[in-house]
Amino acid sequence: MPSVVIHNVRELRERYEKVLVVGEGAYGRVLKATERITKEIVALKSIPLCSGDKEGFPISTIREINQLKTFNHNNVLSLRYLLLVSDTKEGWATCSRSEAYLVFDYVPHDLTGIISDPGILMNEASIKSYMQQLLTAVVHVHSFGSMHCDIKSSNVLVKYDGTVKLADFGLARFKNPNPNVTYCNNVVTRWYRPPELLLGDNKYNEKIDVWAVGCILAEFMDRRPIYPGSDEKDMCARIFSMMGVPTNSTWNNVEGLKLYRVMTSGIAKGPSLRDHFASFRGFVVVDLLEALLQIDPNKRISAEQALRHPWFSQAPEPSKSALKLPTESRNESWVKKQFAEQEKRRMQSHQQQMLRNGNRKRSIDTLNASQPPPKKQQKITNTVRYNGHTITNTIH
Amino acid sequence: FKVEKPFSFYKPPIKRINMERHNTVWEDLEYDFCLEGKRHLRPNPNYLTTQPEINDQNRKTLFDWIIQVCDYKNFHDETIFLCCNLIDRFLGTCNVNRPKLQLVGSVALLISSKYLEVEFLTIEVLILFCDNIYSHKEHVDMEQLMTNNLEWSFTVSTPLEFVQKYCILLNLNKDVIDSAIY
Repeated sequence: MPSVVIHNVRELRERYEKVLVVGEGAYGRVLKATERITKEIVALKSIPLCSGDKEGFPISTIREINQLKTFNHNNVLSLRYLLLVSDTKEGWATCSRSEAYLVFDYVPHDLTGIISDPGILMNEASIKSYMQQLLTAVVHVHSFGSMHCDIKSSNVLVKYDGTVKLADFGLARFKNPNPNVTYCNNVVTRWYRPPELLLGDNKYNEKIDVWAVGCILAEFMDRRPIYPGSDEKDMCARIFSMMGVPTNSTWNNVEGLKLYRVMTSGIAKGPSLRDHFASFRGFVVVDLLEALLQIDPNKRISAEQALRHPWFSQAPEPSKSALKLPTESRNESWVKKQFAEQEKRRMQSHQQQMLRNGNRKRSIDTLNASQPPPKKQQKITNTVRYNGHTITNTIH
Repeated sequence: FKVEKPFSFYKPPIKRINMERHNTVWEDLEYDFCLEGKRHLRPNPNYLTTQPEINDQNRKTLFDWIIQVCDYKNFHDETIFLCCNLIDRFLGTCNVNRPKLQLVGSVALLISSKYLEVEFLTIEVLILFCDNIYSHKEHVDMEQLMTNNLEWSFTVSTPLEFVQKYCILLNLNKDVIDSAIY
């Protein structure tokens, strides 16, 4: 992996034509750009260098580059090179505006966008293909004794032809052969965090990735995240109300974990996983989902075992091209934009309604009656349908 | 066990030892990877002869200092081994004059702690450990030089890793493992 040093911003502009900002987050920005000479479209992931603590290269960059250098797999997004931009002649580190970029191939879609676009109709063959490719990528990562630690639907990118690329190894790290080594507990995006992390375990293993893959499969089936908890306590409540609170007899030494007492208090029994996916009753895919979403990491199957699951050998055969993907990109930022537009439209309709009614008080009453916040309403109806009387416990 | 051949050509008899307890594919892959794929990550064994200003005494004092810092910070043993590997490989790529040798060690500590530890060293703390000899800017510049010269590969197999893997494979008890690591 060569690193290319560019001496000023003008040279960068000559080399790449910036198209648009694809994503923005705590890590920096991701730009879509075309390379002027080869006409290839690339994604530039910026590295925050001189901001914040000024500690040289951030940890996530050092780890990400090392991970990416190790892997060589069709389903893992490969790093082309590292781009260092300096604005002065003395040295790139002295200048406050110096930047560094990781250059990747540009991949238009991600799973968040595909799942939440109502215009795309899912079929089983394509879901099977995506899951198979994702699992082969995870097996490849685990075969090097490494953990991805941040699998979520927006980190799984999809090309136009349906090839899945696993991306963002910023939190990934190699596992130590010594089983007593502790790792940082604060990894994985909240909705995809497995119970052992939520209970404060810091000697976890690669099974945390398997849980996240299970969450993605559930998201495929439901077309919305399965555990969208608002904080760690809420996450635990959602998971344990579905799976049952673990005890020492069902999960060895669980009660010794740091946050066990705090997290498992006051949890009511909700609908089980099979009840939640009642419309899939009799399908083999629920078996796979149940095996992936085991609370106890020792009982959870490994990624390799999941690949050998009978669901993948059943008809319909997994096929990459079963799903027609749109030409515009469907990714996380598209979803956010869509969501913001929806909000705006709803606000406008509120205002129009208020104007029409004239009476301000009555209009507010009708608003509250007809249009409560959409997400919560949906959940309440679900629980009512499945579980009659324990609504309040599950919601609050 | 006995190693009949030179270590680098020795293929461990994994499949014979315990087929049930370990996933053989995984182990095979990993050993191939450790031995063959990482050959270029070994330091040049003769670099001290090409360095004009550094001798083995300097290297020894530097490593003692590093072990002190790691002890003080309660770092894992792997960090020390990785740090030494980084220094040896870096000194194989370019000549360093004696006053800058501690800076090399300090930056190697910075990188290896960032890579392996949960709570990594900050540059400010490192400057204090070096008695304020080097500035913040020197640290950042040296980090840039070192990452470039080493081509960003910090995933190395250290002797410690081999000892640990053999201990796990041979299913030794804790006392033997501790003495082997010592």
